[in-house]
Amino acid sequence: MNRSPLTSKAFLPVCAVVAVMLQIILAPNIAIRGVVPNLILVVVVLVAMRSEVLPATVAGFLLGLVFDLVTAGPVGGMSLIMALLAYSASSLKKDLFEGNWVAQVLMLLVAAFAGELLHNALYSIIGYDRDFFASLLLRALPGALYDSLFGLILFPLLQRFTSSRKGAGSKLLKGGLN
Amino acid sequence: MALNQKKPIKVPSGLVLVVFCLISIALLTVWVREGATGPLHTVRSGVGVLVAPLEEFGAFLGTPLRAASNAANNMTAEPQTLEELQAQNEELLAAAIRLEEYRQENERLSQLLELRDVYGLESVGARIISRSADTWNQMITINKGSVAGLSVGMPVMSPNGLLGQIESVSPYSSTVRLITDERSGVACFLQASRAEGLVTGSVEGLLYLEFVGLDVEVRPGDAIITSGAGGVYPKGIPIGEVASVDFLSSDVAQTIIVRPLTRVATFEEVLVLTGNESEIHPNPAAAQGAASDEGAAASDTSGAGEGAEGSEGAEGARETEAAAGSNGAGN
Repeated sequence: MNRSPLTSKAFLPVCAVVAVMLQIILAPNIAIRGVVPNLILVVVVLVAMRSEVLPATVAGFLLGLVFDLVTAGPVGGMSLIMALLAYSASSLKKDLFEGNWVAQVLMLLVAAFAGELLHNALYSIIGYDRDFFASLLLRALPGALYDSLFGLILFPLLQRFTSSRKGAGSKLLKGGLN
Repeated sequence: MALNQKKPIKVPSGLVLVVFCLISIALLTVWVREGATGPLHTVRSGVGVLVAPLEEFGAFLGTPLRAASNAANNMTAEPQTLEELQAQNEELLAAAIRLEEYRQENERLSQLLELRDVYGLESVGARIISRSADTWNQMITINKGSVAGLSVGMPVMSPNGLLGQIESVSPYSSTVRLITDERSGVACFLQASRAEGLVTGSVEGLLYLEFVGLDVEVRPGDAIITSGAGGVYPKGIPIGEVASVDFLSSDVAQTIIVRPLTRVATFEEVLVLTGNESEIHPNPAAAQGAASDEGAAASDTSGAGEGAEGSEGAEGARETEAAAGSNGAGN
């Protein structure tokens, strides 16, 4: 029997913990001209594309909340955005993504850009004085590209877990992929 | 038994999403409305204490990366650059000797006139344990907090010049908003002309000097130092030098780009100015949690430049610095 390295129940929490650790330890050290990759968002979207809607939405909200608490932005902003992104990514037709890494990376790029765009808009809405279009061009777009680059790196790792998981009968992922 | 079998309750995911959205909006509202000592800010400070060891570990891992980057920059420097630096070093040594002479003379004259020494500032050394973990805020975390006597609003310096201002404090760490962050503003003046203005950060990472009228002669290389107006930063801290000046005849002020003296990426240690108490005025509104509405704070500039003299532009600069101080510190 093809055993998965992680059980289905442990998969999401392990991904969540790894994402948070990477965001705190790694991300500040690999910033390029002030653009810091949002590794939590990358993990949320990649996992959401393989998960059922409910656990993906819960994970998106909780990880977004953690992101808000460990960074300097307004609390509640990223939890809102990541819950929306996770819900959207997990609600899309899974046949589109299964085994198609190009579609997954494109989805990640779109999700990352949408996330950065929403975050930028949120700052403007709550009254932070910032140049919206400059932020879009100099922060949101490079940020989304950087996130997608990490998606390319993390994608094979997740693929390895999820492909072996199908054989193990993971309810979490199998349900999402069907 | 059939009666004991529990039917799994299917929760509609759409409903869960709506609930999470409402919770997030409620959190955002509370965050924006509450002050620096509100419950969410307190929770974040608590989380800061928990993640500080991880941040320190990250800084430890990042040290070789930064060292390698610096080494690569040094190795690729041209021999001509080295000669220029040596020549510059000799000039600076001579200037330092002259300045020491002036300083002593100033001290003697100040004593005669019974003037207070505005540059005798007390400071606490701290180590940078983390840089920004997100794209939208240019912050650093340092390894000293309220236990070491730090509080919200205190200015932070590198050995070269101004770095930023403490925005939040936990017992053993503090976060500092850098002057290059677009929400920062520092009242300053040009050392040569004494014209006042406001140095602001920007999304592109540059510093801009604003509110300097067309009648003021500004040249690249002119030094810019804090003016002390607005009460957030003490007077006389170097910020940077003019990199470029640009304006049209139709403009009311010059567009001046400032080259900061301090690049945070190259520093591991900083100084937090804690005294003398009469010169450093951590924003009282932020310290007491009164800067409740961050959005409103940006436009609420009343009382910041009380009793100040000078031009209209300089007045605006002072008020905006105070607003930026409370705005930033309240986050």
